Amino acid sequence: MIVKLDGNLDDDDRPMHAMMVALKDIHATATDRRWKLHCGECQYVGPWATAVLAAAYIEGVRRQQHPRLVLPEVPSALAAYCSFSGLRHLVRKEPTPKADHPESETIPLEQFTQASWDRSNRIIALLRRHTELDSEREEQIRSCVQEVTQNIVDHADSPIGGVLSARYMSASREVRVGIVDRGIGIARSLAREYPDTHNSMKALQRVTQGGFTSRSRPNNMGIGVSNLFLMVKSAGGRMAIFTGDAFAALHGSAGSPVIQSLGCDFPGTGVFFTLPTDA
Amino acid sequence: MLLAMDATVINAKDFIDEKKPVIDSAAKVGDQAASILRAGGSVVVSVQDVRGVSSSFFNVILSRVAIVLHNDFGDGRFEVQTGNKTQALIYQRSLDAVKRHGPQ
Repeated sequence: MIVKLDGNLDDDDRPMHAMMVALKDIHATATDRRWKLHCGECQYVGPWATAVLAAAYIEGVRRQQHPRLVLPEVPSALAAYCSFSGLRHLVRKEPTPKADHPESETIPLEQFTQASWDRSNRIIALLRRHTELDSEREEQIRSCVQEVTQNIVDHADSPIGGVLSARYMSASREVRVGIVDRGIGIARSLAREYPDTHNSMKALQRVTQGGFTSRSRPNNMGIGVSNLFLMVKSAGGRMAIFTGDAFAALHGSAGSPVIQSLGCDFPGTGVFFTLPTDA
Repeated sequence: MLLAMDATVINAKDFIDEKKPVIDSAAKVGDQAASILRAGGSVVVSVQDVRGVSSSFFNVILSRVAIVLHNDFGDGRFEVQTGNKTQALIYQRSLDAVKRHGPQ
């Protein structure tokens, strides 16, 4: 099976929605069936897409699908991003440039299986190289990363753990973060405690509202996702969560998350957010 | 600040190993706080030097404390000192959740 992506895989809910739909056959691929994903003609690949692509590739290797991922070679800035982000190392084993390379505005991909304190260190180190980061904004970024990684460890049952990608955008002065797992999705996790969580839209309504938890562990009180939305909203950032066959999107500091059907099934959960780096 | 002058201050940062899970250090902080409260003392947990708190971090601490306090956080023997608005927000929401659900 060959799937082709082109255009801008931008860090926003609409292009991500389009990307998820384009990837639906790969995401639904049974074990042992080979696939190739051709991204060579994409004009932009951001950290949100990077996390999804990396998770698909890692899961494809795990399921013996012999995945092949063709990355863009032009324009040169995009090719450089594919190197700095660790994507090229993932698929072709080419070395990733050092994390503190002066031209790098991205952290290399991280695959994780535990929610440790140092999960956000490389993101903060990246931002400090490029901008003045005040302590409040640093705390928001670190806490947002912690909420997502803890959720994956506690609830996702993801065979690959989680995959994290992040990039600093100097033009818009914001950090963009994508964290993806290939687990059971929010609906199945919540249904353990709330059997009437019939679908992903209802699950997203519940977790964005807060107070609903699968109680997978004693530390779960069901407020992590709603904390995340509050922090992103108060900072004037953007956020999207894709899980199962639905997604929730938040733009800026106005309003509540909008929850919609995805139109296909994403086998896991992807949490994507942007935060301004200026106070 | 409403605690007695002889409250024991626990600096959460002293219990943190950066490479280890967040909830492991939270459990240590919570156990330390619970031990002091069980003995009749007062406790201030300071997170002012901690970077990247999460709801799980506070949930674990507060759940352990809630058992000793019988979920009565108004008795004046326990307090958390936060260092910024984000920490204060996350702490307050965890406190509200633990009070609502009870200790686990």
